[in-house]
Amino acid sequence: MRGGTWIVIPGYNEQKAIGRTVAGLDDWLPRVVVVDDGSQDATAEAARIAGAQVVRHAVNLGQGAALMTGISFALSRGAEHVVTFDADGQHRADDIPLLLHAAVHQGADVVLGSRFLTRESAMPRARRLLLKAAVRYTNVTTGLRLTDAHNGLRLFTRRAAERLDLRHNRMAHASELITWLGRSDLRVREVPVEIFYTEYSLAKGQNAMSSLNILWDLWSGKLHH
Amino acid sequence: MIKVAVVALLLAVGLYGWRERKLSPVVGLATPSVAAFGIAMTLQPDAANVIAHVLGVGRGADLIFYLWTLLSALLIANIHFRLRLQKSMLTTLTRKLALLEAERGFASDDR
Repeated sequence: MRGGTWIVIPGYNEQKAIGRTVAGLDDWLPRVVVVDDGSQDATAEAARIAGAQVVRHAVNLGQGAALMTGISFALSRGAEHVVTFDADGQHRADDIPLLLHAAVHQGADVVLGSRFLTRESAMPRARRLLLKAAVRYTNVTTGLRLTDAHNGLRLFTRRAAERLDLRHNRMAHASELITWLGRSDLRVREVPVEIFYTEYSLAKGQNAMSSLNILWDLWSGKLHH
Repeated sequence: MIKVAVVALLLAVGLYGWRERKLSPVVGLATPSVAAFGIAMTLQPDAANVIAHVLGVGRGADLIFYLWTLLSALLIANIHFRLRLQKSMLTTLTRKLALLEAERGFASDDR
C-alpha cells in the first residue's frame, strides 16, 4: 500500500458523519486515514467499519494536531500526495482529481480548494463576510493572492508535506499554514471546489468568537518561543 | 523589617523573570526591570512621589499600585507561556503514541 494519494480526515466526535464521508471516498480506499482526535463517541469504530485506516489520539488536541498526525502517517506509508478532507461531509470526493491535476500537470506543490471560485453556494451571509474578511487580512499579511484561506480541502505533494510543521493545534493552524506558504518557495494554486452546507456542518463550523480565539492564539504565539 | 521582606520578594520575582527570558524575551526583560523599579521605590519611598508626578500619576502610592498590577500581568503571561510549552510537549507525545500504535496495528495486519 505504499505510494499514491492519501486522504487524511481529522475527526472529533464525528460518529454521525464519518461513515458517510469515508463511504464517499471509496475510490480512494484503502489510502484513507481518519485521525480520531480523542473523540468521546464511536468515531474511530465508524471510520474503521467504513473501510478507513484509523489513527487515534489519546486526548483531544485539535484539528491542526490531527492533520499533522495524519500527514505523518501518510508520509510513513510512502504517500506521493496528501489530501486533507473534512469529516463532516462538506467536501466532495469528485473535487480531489481537480487538486491532483493542478499538482501533477501544473506543477503546484500545494493546491488549495476555494469555494469562492465556483458559483456561490448556500453559505450564510455572516459566515461569508467573516471568511472574506479573513481572506483579505491573510492576503495583506502574507503577500499571497488567495480567494479562500480557510478551506479544509487541500493537497500537498510529498515535497511540501515533508516540510510542513504546524505548531498551532486548534483552528489557528489554518492561518499558520497560509503564513507558512507565503514565506516558503512552494508553488501554490487554488482550484474551484464545492462546499455542501448542512445544519450539522454549520453547527460544527467557525463563528465570530472562534475568530477572536484564533487571533489570540496567533498573536500570543509570537510573544514566546 | 517589612522593607527587607518586600525587597527580598521583588528580588526573587526579578530573578525568576530573568530566568524565563529564553521562553519569553518580553517577560525576561520586563519583569526584572519592573522589579528593580519596585525595589528602588521601596528603599526610597519619597522618590515614588517625585517619579509619580513626572509620569503624570497623582501619588506615589498609586504608582506602586500600577507597578504591582504590571508585575502581576507579566507573571500571569509567563504562566500562560509555560502552559503552552507543556501543551506542546503533550502534543508531541500524543502524536507519537498514536502513530506508534497505528504502526503496531499495521505490523500485525501484515503478518
